Amino acid sequence: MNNKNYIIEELKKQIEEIDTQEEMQKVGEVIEVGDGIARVSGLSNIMASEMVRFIVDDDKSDKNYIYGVALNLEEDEIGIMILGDYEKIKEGDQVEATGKILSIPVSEKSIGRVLNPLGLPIDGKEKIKTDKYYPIEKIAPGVIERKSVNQPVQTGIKAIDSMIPIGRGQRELIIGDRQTGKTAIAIDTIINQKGQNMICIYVAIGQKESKVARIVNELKKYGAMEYTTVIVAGASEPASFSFIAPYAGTALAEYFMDQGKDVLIVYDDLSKHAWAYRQISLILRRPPGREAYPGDIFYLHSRLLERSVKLDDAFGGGSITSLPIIETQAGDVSAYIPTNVISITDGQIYLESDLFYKGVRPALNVGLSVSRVGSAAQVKAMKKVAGKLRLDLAQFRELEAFAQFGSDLDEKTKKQIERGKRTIEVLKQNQYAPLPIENQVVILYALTNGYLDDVPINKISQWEEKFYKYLATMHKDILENIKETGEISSVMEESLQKALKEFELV
Amino acid sequence: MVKRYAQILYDLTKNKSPEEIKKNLKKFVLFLQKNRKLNQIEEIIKKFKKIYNQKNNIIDVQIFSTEKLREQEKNNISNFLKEKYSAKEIDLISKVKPELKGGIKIKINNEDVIDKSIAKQLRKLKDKITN
Repeated sequence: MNNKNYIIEELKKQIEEIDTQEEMQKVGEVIEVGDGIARVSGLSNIMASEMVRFIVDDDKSDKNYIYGVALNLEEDEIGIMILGDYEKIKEGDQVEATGKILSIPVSEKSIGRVLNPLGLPIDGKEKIKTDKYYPIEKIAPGVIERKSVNQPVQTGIKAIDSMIPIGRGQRELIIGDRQTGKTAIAIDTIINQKGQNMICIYVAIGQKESKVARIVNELKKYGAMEYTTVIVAGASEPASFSFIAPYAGTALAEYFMDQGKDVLIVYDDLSKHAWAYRQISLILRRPPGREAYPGDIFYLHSRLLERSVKLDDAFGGGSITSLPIIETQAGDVSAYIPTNVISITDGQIYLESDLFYKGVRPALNVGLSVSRVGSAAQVKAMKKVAGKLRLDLAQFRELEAFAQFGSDLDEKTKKQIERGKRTIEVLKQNQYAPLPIENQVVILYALTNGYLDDVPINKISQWEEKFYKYLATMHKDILENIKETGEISSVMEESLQKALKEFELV
Repeated sequence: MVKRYAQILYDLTKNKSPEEIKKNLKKFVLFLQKNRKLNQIEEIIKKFKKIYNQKNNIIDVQIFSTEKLREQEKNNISNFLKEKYSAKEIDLISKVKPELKGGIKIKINNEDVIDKSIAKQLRKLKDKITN
């Protein structure tokens, strides 16, 4: 009885609280709508990229509003990008300004979730409750707030950690044709961040929903969802979602970075992001330029990737490391978008389909892949073995053409070719099998110091496997020492050599 | 562009006698024809209205209600708006809009809205309850 009265009283109070004294409000009217863009008259005081809402008040749906963002501010009308179901908007609908710049809710609880670019969950779990909002567009930190990279990101991939090292705060592009394992590298890197004090964000832009579901399952399987947020703008959603998804992901990353944490963010992929922006720009009737992209397509990506930084300790010392992905068409890296993004990033990992089909996986082209800043952050032990590795590979590439002459070659050349073949064999690695840094160091040490020269090529992966097991059981101290100090001291080098000799006898 | 033609039209007719206006308008039409802008006459007229209203302190008011308003009500509203905007004149159009479910909605200069309709209040209530 009491309960009933309480409900009624409370409802009455709530109704009274609703402000019936209506103030004047600026309201616009939809002139034209189509393909995710609306042209609206009125709203003369609106800000650029301010959120607006369309009033779609029919009694059937539970939603009163559809949100949008003002992109084009013109003399008599504005162009609005609609974030949602634009088919429900009609000519003559009322549009209100909200006075807020587009922002997304951020929280610790976002970790482990699958979200859409507006920060709403799409994994069927409860809504994320928070009162913190971060704007989607933000100017990147300036010179004073930055620091050069000095800590490594361990991808767990031998070829990358040894020759193309990535530092925290770096932007390393992953570029290649379709089906060359671009996403695989990014996912392996995320899986390897377990226990590395890193929060990961995977942004899927215009991807097939089935692919995203598969990735989320893999991440769960390897325990990576404990520190990962997935942001999805699916292929079935409007282009506006694909357009804002990477910015939304970065806003979430900035929230964690502001707490002094290290964040790894993967944009998969920026080609589709550029397509989405091209579509929006053309419908807004902005003039098309090269490949029909609008004039500010470079700024689109540069302002996004500039937000990946390593902050100075005085500003919290957090970092955002980004791995943007670009898909090329038939290996053409000189197309418009690939050249743009290559010039913005601090290096690229170039994947080739020829190598992929030859069985070299990851299909990394070592000659064309570079990391412009990461070597400053590489661990010393790795630096020591990697220098020799590079040299071996470079010499092998030079001599590769002679390899078919077989027996006609002199002893030294033959040896270099054999070493090269083994180097390539060792750098092969399965998917979902990231390797700890200490194991990488010992295998590369064995390789560059000739301990593998007598092992037949088809037995190398077996040898590798057994060697890790042998070290883990018999010489745990070597691995632990490398892991802790990040160096190979002369004492350790001696015992490693001893262990290798012992292992050869086994 | 349209704005400049509208401005020219305003300058040609400002503080002129009817005969002069007639003469100037003829010139203006010929000028438009020469510049092939006759097809944009609708937009020019729209813009001209805006400029004229602004210069002469006239406001454009649309009133929406569920039933036809009586003269007395219309006068009350115009007087209220005249005072509020310190406007000289009011260009008033009233329209019947059953979707409002009751109450009244006033739109000034096609932009500022005072919405006192039942529909709006219901929407606010729905917002409050669903959130």
